Amino acid sequence: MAHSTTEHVSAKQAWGGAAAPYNISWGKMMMWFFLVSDALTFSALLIYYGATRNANAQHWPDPDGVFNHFPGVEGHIPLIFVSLMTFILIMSSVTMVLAVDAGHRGDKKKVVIWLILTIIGGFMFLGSQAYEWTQFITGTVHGFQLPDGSHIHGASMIENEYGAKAFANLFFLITGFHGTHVFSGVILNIITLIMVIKGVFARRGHYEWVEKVGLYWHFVDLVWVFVFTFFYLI
Amino acid sequence: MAMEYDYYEQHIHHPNDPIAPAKTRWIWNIFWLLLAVTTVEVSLAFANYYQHFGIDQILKVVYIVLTLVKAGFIIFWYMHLKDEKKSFKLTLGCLVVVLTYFIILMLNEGYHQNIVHYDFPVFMQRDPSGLTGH
Repeated sequence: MAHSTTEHVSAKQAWGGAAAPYNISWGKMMMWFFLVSDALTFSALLIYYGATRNANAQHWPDPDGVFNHFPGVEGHIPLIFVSLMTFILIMSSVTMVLAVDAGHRGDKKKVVIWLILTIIGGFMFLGSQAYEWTQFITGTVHGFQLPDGSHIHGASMIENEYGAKAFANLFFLITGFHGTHVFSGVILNIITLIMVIKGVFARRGHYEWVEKVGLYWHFVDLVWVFVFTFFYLI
Repeated sequence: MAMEYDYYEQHIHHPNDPIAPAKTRWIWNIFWLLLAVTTVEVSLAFANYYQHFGIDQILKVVYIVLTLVKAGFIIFWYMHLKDEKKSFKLTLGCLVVVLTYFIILMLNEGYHQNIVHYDFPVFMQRDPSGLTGH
């Protein structure tokens, strides 16, 4: 992969400039640093979710009682649809790793195939998330009756039938923010695919761009793993 | 050039270089592991929904541990972090220290706010009693 000559030098020489002390390319390192910053953002949101849930524990609905739809199936089955979403995203991560691996070997055809599959996986996830949001917003038939006699159905930015206001607000915020990342990741993947097909990286001699975009895509998958745990399991 | 400490050079694949055969076994092995861990998590949650054994708190810990295991596989294997230098891993690891502190602090904060029955600002509320949380 990378050619490196290692000598024992002083710290000043290693970190003094014109060297790569981490033995990593600048672009890849900066992508990692960006992912750390994005991880802090998502962590702030998820930790706020935890704190708010603790603060509103009495009014917090059971996720299994809310997220229990499956397309085409009557009745309530919790967890199955969101597990399918998790599987789709993990699969797309697998195809992304395969694309990066093909890039390391210089196999352009394989990179194209695996990238296309990753993009399809991304769109499948986005479609599934749209279904989940639709079911959440539409709500149940009986809804929730307020003390003044009126009924609310489903969820909006103002109120929801399931429990505390923060439940719906945080669901929209966090899954929406994550969905935006998935969408931007899919766009980046499409741009990368076009560049691969046009032979930009074949001419350049390395597919490191694909690796960097791959890091972003894995990050998106990683965040979903945590969102899945905290929203649906715990 | 006097300084030659770990000078990073990109490996260049020239147009007529042979394409090495794919060694992707490990990628699929990690996939099966991730699938297995996710299946365990979902099965536990599914079983716990239909049959209550009173182990909710233990289950929460189990979910978090399994999620961290999955995260570890994705970060170290799929994102190739295990192939990077230790100093780089430590640099990124600063995040973990910061987060641990923040998590413990904020979860306790929320818990205490519940005990004190702190009234969150309730603009746009249609239920002034606050009992229903709407």
